[in-house]
Amino acid sequence: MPTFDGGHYFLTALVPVKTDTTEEGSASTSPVHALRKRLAMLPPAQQTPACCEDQSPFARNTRNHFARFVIIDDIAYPGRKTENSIVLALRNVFRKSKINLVVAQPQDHLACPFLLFAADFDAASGGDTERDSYLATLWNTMESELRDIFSHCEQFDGVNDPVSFAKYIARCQLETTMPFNDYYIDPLNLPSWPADKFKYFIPAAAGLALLALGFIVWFFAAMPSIILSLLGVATIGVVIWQAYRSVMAAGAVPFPPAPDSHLPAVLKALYLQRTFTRFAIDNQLRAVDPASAEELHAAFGRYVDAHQPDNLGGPTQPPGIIGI
Amino acid sequence: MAVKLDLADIQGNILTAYGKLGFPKGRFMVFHVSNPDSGRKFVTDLLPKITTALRWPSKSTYIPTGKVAVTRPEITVNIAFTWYGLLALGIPIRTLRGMPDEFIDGMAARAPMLGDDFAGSMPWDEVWSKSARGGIGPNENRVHILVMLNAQMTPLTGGAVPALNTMTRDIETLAQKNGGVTLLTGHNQPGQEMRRYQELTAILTRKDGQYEPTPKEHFGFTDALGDPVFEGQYPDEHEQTVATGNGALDGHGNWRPLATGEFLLGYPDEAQEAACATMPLDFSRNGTFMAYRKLHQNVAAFRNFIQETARDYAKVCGIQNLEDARELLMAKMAGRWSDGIPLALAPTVEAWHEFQDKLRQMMDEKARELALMDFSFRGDKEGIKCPVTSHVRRVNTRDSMDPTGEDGSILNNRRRILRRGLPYDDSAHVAPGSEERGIVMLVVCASLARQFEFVQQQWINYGLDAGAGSDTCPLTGNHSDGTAGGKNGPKAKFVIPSDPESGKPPFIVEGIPQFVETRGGEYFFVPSMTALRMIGMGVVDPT
Repeated sequence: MPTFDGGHYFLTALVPVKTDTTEEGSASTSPVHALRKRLAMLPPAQQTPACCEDQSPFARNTRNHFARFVIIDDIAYPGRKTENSIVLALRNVFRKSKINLVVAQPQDHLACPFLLFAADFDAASGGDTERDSYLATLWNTMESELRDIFSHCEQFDGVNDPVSFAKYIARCQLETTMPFNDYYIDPLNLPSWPADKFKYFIPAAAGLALLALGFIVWFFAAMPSIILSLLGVATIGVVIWQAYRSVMAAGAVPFPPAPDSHLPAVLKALYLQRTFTRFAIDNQLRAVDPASAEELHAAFGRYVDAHQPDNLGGPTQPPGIIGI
Repeated sequence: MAVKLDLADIQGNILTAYGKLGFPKGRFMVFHVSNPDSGRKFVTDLLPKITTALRWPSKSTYIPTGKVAVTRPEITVNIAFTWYGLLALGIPIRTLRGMPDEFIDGMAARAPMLGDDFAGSMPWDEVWSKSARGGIGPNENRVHILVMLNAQMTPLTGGAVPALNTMTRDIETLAQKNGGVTLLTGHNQPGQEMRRYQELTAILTRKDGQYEPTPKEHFGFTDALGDPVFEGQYPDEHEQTVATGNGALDGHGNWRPLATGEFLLGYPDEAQEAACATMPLDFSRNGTFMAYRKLHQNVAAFRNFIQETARDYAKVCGIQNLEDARELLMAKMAGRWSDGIPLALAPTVEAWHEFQDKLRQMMDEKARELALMDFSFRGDKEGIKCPVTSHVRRVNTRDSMDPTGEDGSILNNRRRILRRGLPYDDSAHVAPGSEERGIVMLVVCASLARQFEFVQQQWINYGLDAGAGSDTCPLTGNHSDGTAGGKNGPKAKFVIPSDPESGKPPFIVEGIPQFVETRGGEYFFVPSMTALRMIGMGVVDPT
């Protein structure tokens, strides 16, 4: 279930974009053109001090790790399916249905452009209610931007509250097949597979032994050999099937969350990193002067009081900036 | 089969740093071409004077010369072109558009990315600011051709041999002969005495009435220790020896020369790809790219900073002797002690003195050079010995970023640059009380974007790969002054880690002034002799 992994919900939704002509000011244009322009005007997060004055609407809440919109106009044309021209020429000699390289192969196209919305946010279980609560937060903090964007998409007209928005996105949701986690610092302590080596080893060995025995008996031309061999093959088949299921089941178990990888903790960590660097610079001479030990202790006390390291809700870095 | 280079086809300054090998004086001249025919004639006339990589008898190093082919000149002459220079010489568009983007952009357009836009930056020197003025519009002051002269020195006067002036006159006469090629002047700050050429000189010392060049730069560090070594650069038997400490490092401590294609176009590089080669192939092959960077050094600011910061540093790291603290602070910033001994091998003042004694006992110059180069950063991940953000560890990360512990310098091998060029000191020509001195650094590599610009942007002016956030290089980086609302963030800082077992805290230097300021420069293409001939004859044919 890669939609949920490592304590994060990876939401992927493909929303069909309208194709009727729309009015933009005094000009007629396509909804996908208007949508692209609206997205281009959406301010990005303030990632550098020189970046911009406006702030991304996604920074209005503390649930977004990443969020992105992408327009998919059509399927990328991968070119003609390649064929070996010599093999093809030979085949054409012997077959009735000739393949003519000049005739175009069938191509796939989308019926309409799609708007991809991909986001990852903190979640405990990956359940639908967590997704809906995230989408409700978006609606409550950036309704006007969401209306601007999704009004260019199909069947958005009835959406007018957090619940209907969550339903709308849920209808367009796809399974995320490749989530991306970036918060593991130390290697994960994961169980090895298989947990019990003998569970597969012994039946597999037994199957092989039966198979081998079958061959030996067959070698001496005795009749029951075919049954022994079939039994061996069947045993091996069952073992492989069980092992495959076990691997797939192990793969479907979500990774555990990395320690302190939810957004409020990440923001607090960045805040503490910055403020503590300041504290270290200001107090580094006290740190090596025994006479200043009490002063240093008191200064650290003031630091802890002011910045409250244990309080995630307390003084912290706002989202969407790099904190300098 | 190893790479065999056609030395007669390659310009000599690519393979050899003349400045430290017997040519301690330099003079750079820049020209503008307003008539393609005259420009091509100028190139053709210059061709016989160009110094190639053919070997001459060596007198100043232990490096074997291999097969000696030519006599040692008094002056070396090399030439390079900007993209607009190639356009002015009538190179076909198809060849020009195959050139890399950054070369077409030119260095001025890349200033924000290179970090050349530090707070309070002075204007570029006249010749370079006029060249960049007006973007891509017509510009009669645009630099098109760079001619680089390196000269032997007259020991009695400390000046260049007289042949330098003769050669300069000859070249200027060639430029004037047909009209349409103009020498551009102004290697000086606006309003200061007009400088016709960029004069260069190694820092000299006087011994028994004779001047001798030193390997020092203006801050007082021994410079130009080591340069990448690549396949084909040296005679066979010597190549492996000099690759130690200068080439690529595998995960088991073995060195090898880097791939030729990292420094010469037309050869496979470290990714087993052929480095950019615009068409026709023989126009690119045996050529390379070069960044010309005139870097002013604020020597007074540097000395004051060391003086003041060393006092606090001495207290934090518990050093009694202030002089020792100054030396250690400088070493921690550079990654080498001022005499060149690597911190990785001698991390403390005591170890430094021991290393000095050991070097003194070595009679063999080869062994001494090897002792200064043969080190890696293995086992010093935290930078306890040599800070991860020190200058040498940024510009040549060696095996610092080994991703698996078994891949050595794999992430460094495609980010190497050859350093050519010499110091300059124009202080005699500026207003009393001010200084104009520094280094004209010539950075040679096959891809300016992948090698030079990457190192400058990601490793010198950023700290993420070193695990140091936005910290820039304490010596040559862009040092933000922390102006509120400034685009380069808070005041520049530098962290000197401390061994946790010593019980001492790390030392954080905050508010580093700008030590190195870019005073101008440009990106150049350094063609092979074949390409120069084709340019001169007007027969570059990309079809």
